[in-house]
Amino acid sequence: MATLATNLRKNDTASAEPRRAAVAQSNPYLLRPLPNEDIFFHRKRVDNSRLVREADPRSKTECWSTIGAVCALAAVLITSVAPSVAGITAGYQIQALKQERQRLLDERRSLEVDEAKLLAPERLEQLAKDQRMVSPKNDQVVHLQINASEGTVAFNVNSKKDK
Amino acid sequence: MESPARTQAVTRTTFLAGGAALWATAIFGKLAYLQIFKHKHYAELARDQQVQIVEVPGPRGSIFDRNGQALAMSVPVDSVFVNPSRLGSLDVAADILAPVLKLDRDQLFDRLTSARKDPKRRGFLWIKRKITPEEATNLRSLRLPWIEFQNESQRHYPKTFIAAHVIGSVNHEEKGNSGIELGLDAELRGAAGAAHVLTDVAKRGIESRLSDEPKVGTNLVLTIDERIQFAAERDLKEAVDKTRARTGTVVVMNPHTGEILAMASYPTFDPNTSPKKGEPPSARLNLAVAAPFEPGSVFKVVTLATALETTRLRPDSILPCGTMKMFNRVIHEAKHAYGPLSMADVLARSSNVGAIQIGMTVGKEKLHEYVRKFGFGQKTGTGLPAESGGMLRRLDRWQPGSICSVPMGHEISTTALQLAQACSVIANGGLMIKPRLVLKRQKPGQRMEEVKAERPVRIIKPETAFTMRSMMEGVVLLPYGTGRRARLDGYSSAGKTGSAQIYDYAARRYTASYNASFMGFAPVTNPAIVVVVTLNGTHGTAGFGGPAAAPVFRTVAMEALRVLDVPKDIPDQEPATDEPKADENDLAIADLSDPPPLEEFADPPMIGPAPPPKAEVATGPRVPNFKGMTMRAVVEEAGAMGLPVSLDGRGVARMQVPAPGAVLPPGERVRVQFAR
Repeated sequence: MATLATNLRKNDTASAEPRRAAVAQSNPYLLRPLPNEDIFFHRKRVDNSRLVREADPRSKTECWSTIGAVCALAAVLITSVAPSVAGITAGYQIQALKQERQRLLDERRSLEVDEAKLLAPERLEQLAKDQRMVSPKNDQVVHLQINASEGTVAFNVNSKKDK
Repeated sequence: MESPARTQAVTRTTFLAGGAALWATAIFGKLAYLQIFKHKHYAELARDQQVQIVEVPGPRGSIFDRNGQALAMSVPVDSVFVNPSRLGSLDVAADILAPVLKLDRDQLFDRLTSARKDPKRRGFLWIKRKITPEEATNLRSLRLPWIEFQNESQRHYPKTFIAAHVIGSVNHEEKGNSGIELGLDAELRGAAGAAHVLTDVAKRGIESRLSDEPKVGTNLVLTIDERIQFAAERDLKEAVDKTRARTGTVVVMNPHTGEILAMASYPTFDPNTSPKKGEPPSARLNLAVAAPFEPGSVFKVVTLATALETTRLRPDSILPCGTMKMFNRVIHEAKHAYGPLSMADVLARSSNVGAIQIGMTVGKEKLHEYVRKFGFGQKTGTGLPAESGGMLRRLDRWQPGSICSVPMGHEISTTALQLAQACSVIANGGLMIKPRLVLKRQKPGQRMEEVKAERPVRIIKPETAFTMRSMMEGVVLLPYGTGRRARLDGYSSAGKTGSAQIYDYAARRYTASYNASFMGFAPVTNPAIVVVVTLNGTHGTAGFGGPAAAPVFRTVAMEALRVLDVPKDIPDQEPATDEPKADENDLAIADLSDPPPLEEFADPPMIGPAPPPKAEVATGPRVPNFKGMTMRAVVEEAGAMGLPVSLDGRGVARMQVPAPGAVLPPGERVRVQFAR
């Protein structure tokens, strides 16, 4: 590609080479110059303030038409894609909830096993012994006689249900 | 004529268009190839990447006791596996896995090394199965892709030893290998299903579809009450240790419904663990259903019930219970001769000669028929595996001496459960009811349903059962009864002791160790429970049914009646201690026959059966009904009639022998038992 620098370089190459060689000979430890480092560019100031863009209603209409068309297309696209996106999002949520449900069910089973272990008669008896509790003597055990005519007591109601 | 430049332009354009067409054709061709011809292949590849097959657990059914306490439950757990061929460094893998999973590092390394070399493993090695939740959490936190997890299920028995023999256990694949777990394995077993889960690139689930419905096992509610079961196991262990017996069983049953409330065997085991080295084989055997034994004197209940049903013998019928000569042998009591005894006293004193006399009066045909009716020689059908039906010879295989052996419980073998079933017939008024273990079942997605009991069948008349109840109460209540130690505080009880010598098949002789047993029920008027206790391998007189097994009946029955909230039917009292020492020797004569009692006989000895002795018919005054009277009133009435009476206990008369209306034989006394 033809650039200013490379074009200029063509002319400068001949003059630069002997200079480089001379520098190299005078001091071999100096870095060699970079290519085109001796070329300088000058900025030219251009004032376009006097230029005025001519109003073009037709192109403006076309522009708005295009914007409108794109928006309409986007709306159609979003409307058509939205249900499936919502479906996928809901799918994520459903899956997460399913996993959570399964995790909770598993946890419940584990807790039920723990509860059963804690309620084991052997353990309860040991705890009672540790608390220095004793089994009631036979004459200390009184079986309540259920009689509906004597009014209702919570205990009696439960016992009646059991029977 | 066109200019050359235009021609060249047209040519170039044509070539360009052709090239573009070719390019487009190639593109569309490739697209068609991929999308149409290779559609299936690439769709499968995509599905493999996007769709994961996830196992949906189908847990094994849970087992509960009658009050809803969990006895067996399955909990999902993880198992860890790796593909050894994909592991970079086995050293590093072993270093990582061993401490987390609490494994021996060197052993794990050896396993990994051998698994990598072994082509049969096909890149699969279980590192540890059924790890704890903590181990799983720790391992997952490492986020190492080569550590893979498999969902499995772990069977838990939270009550450890309680009802271990009834529930049984499962193997590592959760298949039942004993107890209810094996007997009802088809119902309990679950099967995992599968679901196809569509995942994104991060393997998050988007949607899922059940491809294989999981099968959840049926939940079972047993008739077992864990509180009674615990008491039975605790008291049985104490008794076995105390009497230095080898094994023991306790069965507690509701005689009206057939529901087994407790079934204990000792030694026992923890179903959460696999069999250990040195563990006795009997530890995992449900002895109550799988280990038949010669019942001995407890079987006299069946003999006497048959006599009441089929002969004119009554509780007050007097039988000569001295020595007798049969088949060129002199048959006598285990300890000493009693002389004439009433039928009730034959049971109370556990007279062998009396039982033989009664058996001979009944006759072998009737005896065999009723023994079958009482359920002996056939399985009870509880659903427990390895159940034995016991042993009852066919009638044509009976040897002449069998009519002497069977009435007192020899030449026949029974299980503890069969004895409970037979005792229930007496307790419930003559109905044969099948024992059962499953109270309710809940199929997946359905409500809990009651399991209907089989319709009971009447096998003896109600009056026969009531008379037997009264006679069995005498065994416990009378001062000379062999089952005095089975008296309960606050409850009336009835039962029968048994002591049978154990036959040594190797030495072909009876040994000096015994099967001590007790079967009974309480309360007598409306029995709520039947309890059978057996202790196998006891020694000495302390190992007889009375001293060894009856106390277990007492403690278990007391606990069960309290748990079941059964109202007391007699005043609370401490067991009498000042009574004269009764003869508790109820040992059944075992060596009536030379051949082993439970082996089949090729050539039965040609000895004809002796003519059955006729029951003596006594004459004398008729005994009035003393029941409900005070001691003073009894003495006055007996004195007025000139009847000698023997009084025992305090309170009001509750039982008398002979029965009201019976003839009092000369030289005999009317024995009246009082209680408050």
